[in-house]
Amino acid sequence: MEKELTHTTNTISNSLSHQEKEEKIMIPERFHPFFETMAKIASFIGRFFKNLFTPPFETTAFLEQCYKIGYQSLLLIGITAAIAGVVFSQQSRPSLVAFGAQSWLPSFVAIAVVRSLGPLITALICSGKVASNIAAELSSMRVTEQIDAMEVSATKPFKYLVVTRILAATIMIPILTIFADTLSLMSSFLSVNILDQTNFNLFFTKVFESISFLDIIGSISKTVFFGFAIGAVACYKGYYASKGTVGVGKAANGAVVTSMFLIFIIDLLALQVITFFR
Amino acid sequence: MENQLVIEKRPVTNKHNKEIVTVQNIYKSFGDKKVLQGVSFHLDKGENLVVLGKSGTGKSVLIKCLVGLLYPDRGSVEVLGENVLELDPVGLDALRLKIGFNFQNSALYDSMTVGENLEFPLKRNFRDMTEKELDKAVNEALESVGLAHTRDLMPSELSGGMRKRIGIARTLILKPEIMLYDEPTSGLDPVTAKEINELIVEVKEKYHTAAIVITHDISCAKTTGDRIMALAEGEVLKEGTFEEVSKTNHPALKAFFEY
Ligand SMILES: Nc1ncnc2c1ncn2[C@@H]1O[C@H](COP(=O)(O)OP(=O)(O)OP(=O)(O)O)[C@@H](O)[C@H]1O
Ligand SMILES: [Mg+2]
Repeated sequence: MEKELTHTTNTISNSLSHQEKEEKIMIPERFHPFFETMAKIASFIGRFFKNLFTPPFETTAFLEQCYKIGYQSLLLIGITAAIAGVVFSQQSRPSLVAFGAQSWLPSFVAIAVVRSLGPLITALICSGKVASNIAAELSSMRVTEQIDAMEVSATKPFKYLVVTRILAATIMIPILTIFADTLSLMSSFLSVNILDQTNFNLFFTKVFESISFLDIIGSISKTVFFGFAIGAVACYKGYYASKGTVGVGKAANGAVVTSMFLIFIIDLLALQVITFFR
Repeated sequence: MENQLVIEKRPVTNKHNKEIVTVQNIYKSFGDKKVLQGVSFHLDKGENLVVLGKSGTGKSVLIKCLVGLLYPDRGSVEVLGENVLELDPVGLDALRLKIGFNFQNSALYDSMTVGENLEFPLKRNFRDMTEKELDKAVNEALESVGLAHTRDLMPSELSGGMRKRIGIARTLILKPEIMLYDEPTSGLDPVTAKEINELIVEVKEKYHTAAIVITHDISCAKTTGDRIMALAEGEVLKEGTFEEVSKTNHPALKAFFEY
């Protein structure tokens, strides 16, 4: 098993380009594979930031990714968020009614959606849709030597492929979250309205009374990290995919599993930070 | 240390400025698998060198070492006067622009049309080129491989032979000084293979490039090569003109010529 691991890392390090090779030298050979991977991830992220701020900027490729990651996820996220809004209100309503507190429903839903439900739904759907897509795309380019072909024609594939995707994910996922929050609250209002005949203004006044500025800021900053995690994990898995068609499946699968796991970890950490400020 | 000694035994032959590629004693292994074991060769200006060898002897690894896609464990690689192993990323990119690398599987960008495939390296290296100039360069490159009508097709719509040609056009568009062909005729029928061989010779005459052609196809070696180098088990077996190499008695080489 150990032999297999070192073999894989060896294979990967052998297919690295010059810059990557330089970074590789710092890692002592036969180091524990876990730390080696950690160091590789750190240098990958470092390379992202270094490339992010050096011109020329890849505006067209970046906008194309925004369209793919953002616009093309709107429908899926809209429907999921709307359903979640309905289900959540319908399920919490009986308990509130039992205490004669159904007038609190808007506040209750608002807090749940803005603080937790909206960001989580958006991020998890994007792990499934966006991360797998990016990882599969980049890994198949790696496997068919398209990335190598870009490398040898001096076209800087890291900048063109990786930087644009991570940046687009980091920016689009917060925007998608705001969209998801809005749709969840709307659908919640509609589903409550069918039973209780509330007034639109009254519902949303209560919604905005119950969520604070900190809720919104906290929620958006959290999703920036979600987006970065999704983009970075997917690109990392795809860009360093192992050779052969198995590499594509492994990259896509690894991107979804790892990014979903990271989203919950980030959520937990964000909760601690936001609670500290509250 | 050992490496040092070997180099001293083989003095640098780059005296008359004719040599544009000089490889000395390169070794490369992947884990326990030894692939290259002390390969040395040179390529002169305006010359087509054929590297002949059976599958898995490390031919692809060898040319990947010339462009910094792979790094040898030891030995030295000098291309167009630059020490490839010590170049920084900027210098490496500048050198890579002068080398046209044709991949074994063509490696066309399958999310782009043929035209966009060709434009891509130009657009990203020469950002101030106008649409008109790009257009002209793309047409010219496509015409030189005889596929001007495929400009709007996707790579998945092309046949294997067409893919190889487009791959060649994509490298020609940067007007390289050295062409590297990794098995340009593998997987092609004899007629198409012959056309590709002729194209390689044509490219040499029209663009005045030197080239390294990797192959295990004898007719390709015969038509495209000025000089042949036979590799086996990661070492150079024999080197010379086609006639010289074909007279060999070496069992690993003989089979190539018994067609
Ligand atoms: N990135 C890599 N990681 C691990 N092993 C590799 C890598 N690249 C090549 N090899 C190994 O090196 C050996 C030589 O490979 P190479 O592709 O150079 O062969 P080749 O002579 O080009 O053969 P073919 O004619 O089949 O293309 C093979 O056994 C291969 O498994
Ligand atoms: Mg090969």
